[in-house]
Amino acid sequence: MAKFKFSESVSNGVHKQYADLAGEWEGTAKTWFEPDVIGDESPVSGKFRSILGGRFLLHEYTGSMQGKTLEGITIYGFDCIRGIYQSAWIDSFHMGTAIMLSESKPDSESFDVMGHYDTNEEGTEKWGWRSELKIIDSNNIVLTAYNVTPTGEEAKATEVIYKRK
Amino acid sequence: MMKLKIRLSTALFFVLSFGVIFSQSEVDEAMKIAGPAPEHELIKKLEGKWNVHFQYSIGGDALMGSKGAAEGKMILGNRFLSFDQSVEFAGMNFSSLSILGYDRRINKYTYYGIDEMGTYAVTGEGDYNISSKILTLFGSTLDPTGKSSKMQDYKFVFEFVNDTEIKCDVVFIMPDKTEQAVVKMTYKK
Repeated sequence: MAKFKFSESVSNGVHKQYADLAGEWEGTAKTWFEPDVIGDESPVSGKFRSILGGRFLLHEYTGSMQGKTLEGITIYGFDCIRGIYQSAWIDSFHMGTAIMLSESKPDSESFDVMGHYDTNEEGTEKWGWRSELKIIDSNNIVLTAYNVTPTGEEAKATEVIYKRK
Repeated sequence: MMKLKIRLSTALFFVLSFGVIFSQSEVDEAMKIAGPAPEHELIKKLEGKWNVHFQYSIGGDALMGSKGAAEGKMILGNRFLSFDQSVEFAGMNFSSLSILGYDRRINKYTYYGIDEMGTYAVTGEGDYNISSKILTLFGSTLDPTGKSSKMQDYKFVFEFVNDTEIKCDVVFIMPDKTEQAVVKMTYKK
């Protein structure tokens, strides 16, 4: 049995929150290649679109990394059956040719999802990639991602502070 | 050095994020490997506008037919194909979005798909058989009806018939390993 009804979620739940983010945004993206040292800080602009009848939120963005243009797409979802947030992230820089699939713990009260990536190094466990979407108000949001070691230590990896255009 | 190169074959950002100092040539190599491979030419075959003949299971081996349209676009520097489709389904318009890729870390084709039938995504990964021209992507999802906590195994079977025709079957794999095609699609330019 589904934990949530889509009809309710789209009118006053997570899918409504997603739909409210539709529009064009701009801001600053920070990237850390090592803890506490900003490796890059550059402008970023993006567009959120509600797709497939409001079931998903598509985020397309363009920015740069050390002077080179990058672009990416994140698809945000909320699985009403399981009551979990989900996302898929692809881009032209960080992810290479891989898709980062992430999901939240059950009953998470906000978008806070974890994905994993393989370092391809023999004997090494997968690392985590935790992403948050914080809605400050209707015109300000913050997207933050953390690298998580196999032992659970977190280090901020990227942060996008967006303002609605 | 081999280990380092293997590590470099992962996404560039992750390489840099380990706090290890790499030479410019190593970073350049990582950036090259993070780009599209020759295998991406296969998914590129789905580029363009397609007429869709869509058939879906109505129980047993019976299939109901309808039609629709689809369009594939290579995105993010030819790393992925974005495939938008809209078909008639049970008298209603039914849209979907699929992302197809080839992950060079694991040397597998990858699939991510969402549609208007639910609020969850389905994924798959698999290989291309060059002699049969068939790409098979396997995945598993929670019972799509939401009525149980059982998992449903499935596969997407793409047959690249020629440059103007591609077929795709969605096949459920049952616990006893029998298979049931739940959706059959034929794309023609």
